Amino acid sequence: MLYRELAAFFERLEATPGRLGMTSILVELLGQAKPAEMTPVVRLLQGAVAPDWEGIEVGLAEKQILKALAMAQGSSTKSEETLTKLEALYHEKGDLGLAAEAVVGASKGKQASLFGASDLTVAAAFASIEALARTTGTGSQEAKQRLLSKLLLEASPLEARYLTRTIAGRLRLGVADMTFLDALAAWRIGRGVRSVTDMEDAERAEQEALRATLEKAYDFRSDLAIVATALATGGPDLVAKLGVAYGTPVRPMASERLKTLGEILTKMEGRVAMEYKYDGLRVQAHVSPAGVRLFSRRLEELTAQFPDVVADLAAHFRGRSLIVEGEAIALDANGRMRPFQDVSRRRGRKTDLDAAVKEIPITLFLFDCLADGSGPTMDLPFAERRARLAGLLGKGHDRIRLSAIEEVSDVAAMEAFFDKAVEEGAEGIMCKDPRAPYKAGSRGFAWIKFKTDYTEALVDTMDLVAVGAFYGRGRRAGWYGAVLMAAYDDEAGVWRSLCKLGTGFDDATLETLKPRFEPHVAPKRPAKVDSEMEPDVWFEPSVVMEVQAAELTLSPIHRAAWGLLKPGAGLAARFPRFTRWRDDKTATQATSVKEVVRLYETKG
Amino acid sequence: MFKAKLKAEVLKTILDAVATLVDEAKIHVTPEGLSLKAVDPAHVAMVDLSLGKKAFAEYKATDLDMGVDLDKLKDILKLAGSQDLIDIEYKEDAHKLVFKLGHITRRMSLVDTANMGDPKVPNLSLPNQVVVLASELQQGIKASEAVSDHIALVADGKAFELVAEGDTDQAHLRLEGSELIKIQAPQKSRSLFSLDYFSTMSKVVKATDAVTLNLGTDFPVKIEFDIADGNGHIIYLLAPRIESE
Repeated sequence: MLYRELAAFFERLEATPGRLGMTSILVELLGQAKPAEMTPVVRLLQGAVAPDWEGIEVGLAEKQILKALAMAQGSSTKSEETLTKLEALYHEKGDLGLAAEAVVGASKGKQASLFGASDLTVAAAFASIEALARTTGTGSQEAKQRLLSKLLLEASPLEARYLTRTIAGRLRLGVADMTFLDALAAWRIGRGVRSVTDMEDAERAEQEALRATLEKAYDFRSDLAIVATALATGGPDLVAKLGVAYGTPVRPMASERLKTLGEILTKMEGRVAMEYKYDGLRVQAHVSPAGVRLFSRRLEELTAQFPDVVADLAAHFRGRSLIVEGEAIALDANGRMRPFQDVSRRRGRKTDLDAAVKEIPITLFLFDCLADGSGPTMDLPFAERRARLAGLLGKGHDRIRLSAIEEVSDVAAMEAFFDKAVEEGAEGIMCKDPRAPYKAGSRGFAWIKFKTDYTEALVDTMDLVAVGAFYGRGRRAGWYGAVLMAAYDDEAGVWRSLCKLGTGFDDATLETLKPRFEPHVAPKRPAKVDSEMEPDVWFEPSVVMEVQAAELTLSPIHRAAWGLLKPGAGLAARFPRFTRWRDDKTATQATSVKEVVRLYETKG
Repeated sequence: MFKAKLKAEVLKTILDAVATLVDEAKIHVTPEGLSLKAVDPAHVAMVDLSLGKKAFAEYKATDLDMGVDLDKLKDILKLAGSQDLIDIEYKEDAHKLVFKLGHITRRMSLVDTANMGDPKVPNLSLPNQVVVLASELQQGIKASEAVSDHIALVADGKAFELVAEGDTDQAHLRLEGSELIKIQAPQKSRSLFSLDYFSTMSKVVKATDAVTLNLGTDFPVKIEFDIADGNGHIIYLLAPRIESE
């Protein structure tokens, strides 16, 4: 398959907002890719050279991209004047990819390649971009710039648009992982793309069964390329054989929430296993003879940041293979939990890690076991998994412990447990159905969280996604004064506006808003954002912020749950207040529109 | 096997010719001498260099390929004066080149050549040929650099021109008849080139030597000249900047 053909699909995907429409285009694309091309196609669709959790980023600096454009138009890369002009072109177009397209498509002034235009294949494009991403060390930016120059010199204008965006680390086609899995299923079945509600029972059953197989494999491996390749080479049977792999993160199970302990007890049919909800960093730990790897809940690798935890796990579980989940907490000298910020200070640190390890030692409170030496344990009931976990841990270790847990069947006992948890510094409790399996990658009522702030008059906090900002006035002139926040509609793969957030920021935070959002600025409203309100600046949905609101009300302006509760109205959060950054969450892990609706309905 | 002795300035010429285009190069060694071909990563320029055994004070070799990190070579050359003789020997078992300069011994690890391809030289038919004294060309480039970041090379009948047009200023070199060593330009040709590249290439040739330019319209230029007192030869290819579709 040629990159030119892939670029044409990208252009169509970009212009298509609906999930069904995108799925159709993806099915057509899959039909043109050979099995061996699945990996490059999937990676290029995601604008990456490896799954996220490998942590290999393409991101070439803007300055180097402008130099590559200078070269493509046959100007000197050393001329400040040329670079200034190109920067102006970039700002006019609002996007480096469109600027590259204009440069390559210009009828006058273009540097030729010695070898003429190339028929760049998808495999070759991927290999070049991968080489570029993996080039590190001194002079690597320069070397990357020349690699991009070569690609641009031999590219068509449309190819240039997408190659540049990919290499800048800003492709963002908005193909949700779930949409891609839909497409894989529809492509394999080969009856075209329709909504499942329009299918005959037998067809629907086939589609849903295959879709479930694909999603399960994806939840185990967290890599669409592996799933797509397995399907293309060995069909559904091979996909079904993709189990967990030590060292490859499993997509985490997520929790729902309810307002009262009574509702939780009812939902769990009278029997609840309760754990402290530690205000720490959720960690998935893989131990095997190949070594220890740690992943965050958004599947970023944390191994390098927590050498102490790695050493503890390696020593305690020597010679065994297991996947466990726990909460990483910093404890003070008296064994009390220190706030989340103390743990997060350890993240992203490259220098003086040794000092941080000493200053903020981490204790890991384990709460689940996904695989032990015998294989995956995720299909076992939670109570059984906890028993396995206790068995694995044995006598235990100073800094590797089991999370506090209690199984009860009445509200009074739940309240007592909750009070004890809060007293000891937990942010609340997690209630788990002792009979439920571990459902990787899904959110459900098998786990329900209950936090302190639920007991206050306010609505619960929500993790919303920033999709735009408004310039500040008066005292806030020159800064962003407010941010447009959205909830994630996981069915449509769209972020829908919920509120304009302007309070809860201290001056120090206000000052950092603009630089913080800079990399996410979009030239116009991204297709995946649904908002009537027009902010001064649009953002690609990426940054997640925790917001506490007084209540949820019907709104003629905001688009979350539009028309769902009342024609011509959506939901809005009133008196929203910023409480903290949720860098541990991705935009698709934010509070969903469904959850917002549930919060609205249960507000009493 | 490769064992040789040569003047530092000869090695420096090779380095200057290649290091502006690539960071690493694969040197092809034969009993008759060295050669190498390299394309810059942007695919704008190519160098095709050969150095006969007569360019060396001593030379003994069998067929082999050596991958050289040019930055390292640059560091080694800094240790020598231009007229100094350098001993070079290839240690096959250690996969190293050993340099001896005066009392210094410097061992340099070689780069794996497995992933270094041999660039294909594009087959060009260029109608016009101009032979010019390097100093004239270098003078024209110097004048142009203050004006623009690209130059046009024009050949027409008896005249060769080098034209740089900036937004406000111009520079113009015109040579004809006996001012040129040779010209053969049956049809007018004009191509535009990046000065960044052209200037670094033209610096490699000695001012008193002749440079051959093969030219077409909106076509690459082929730049040829001798090095090491006629015992070596360099061919550059440089892709043009296309002025119109």
